Amino acid sequence: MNKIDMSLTEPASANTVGEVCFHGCIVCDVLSFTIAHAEKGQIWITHHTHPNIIAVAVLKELAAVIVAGGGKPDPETVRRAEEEKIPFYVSSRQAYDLVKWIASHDTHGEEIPRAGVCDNE
Amino acid sequence: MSAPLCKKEFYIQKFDFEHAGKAASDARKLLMDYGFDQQIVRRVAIAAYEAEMNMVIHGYGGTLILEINFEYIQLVAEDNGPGISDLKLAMQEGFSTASDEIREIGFGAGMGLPNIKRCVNFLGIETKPGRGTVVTMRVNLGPDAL
Repeated sequence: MNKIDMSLTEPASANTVGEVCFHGCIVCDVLSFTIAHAEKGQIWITHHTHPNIIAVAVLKELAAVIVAGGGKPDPETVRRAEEEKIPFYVSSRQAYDLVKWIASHDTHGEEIPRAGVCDNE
Repeated sequence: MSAPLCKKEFYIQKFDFEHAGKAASDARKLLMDYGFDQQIVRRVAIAAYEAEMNMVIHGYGGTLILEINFEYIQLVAEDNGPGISDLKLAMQEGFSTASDEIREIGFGAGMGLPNIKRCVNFLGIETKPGRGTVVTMRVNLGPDAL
């Protein structure tokens, strides 16, 4: 199980967790591309701030969503993340820095946990 | 044909990006409550989402009807839009008639119908210029599910 403390980010919603369990990462601003190619348990880095990103994260059972580059999420996006229990973060860092940081915590090959939840440690 | 075990209608408003995705999300929850296989739920939910977004962006709103039958789960998206003038082009990944404004918020990549096609066992599209579009999607249950 890959685990990452979210220290390079700030919580955007009240339902965030200190550590996120994940399996890989996707960086994408095309919603249908994320739908086609994201895999369950990935962390999604995007620059969009509107509520539909949470709908996509729910559909694909993503581990967490990070708005990169200092974007400010709409209040409705935050509300939706809380309602749908999607851990939701913002970061002033650029996507590249976030990917490097996530990749350094990604050891691959282990079973994908329930999205975003470290439940056995 | 026997009556569906469950039928639910969702009403989709034109350019309502605030609530867009809610029908797909509600359909997903309903199927999960029924206890369907996760993979089946995921496929239906993706098809529902893309169909819903097509109605928000292109179809001037419409209705999404979810039906659970013994053999398959069916979605029918009926919109009030201008119709699709070239269906072959619309099915081509990357082709889109969406405005720059729509693309800026991450939609209109020309992947909606191809994404739907990947998720369903049956896809039927009836469209007439000026008369709207009806998209019928089925995900099989049982041994011949994808």
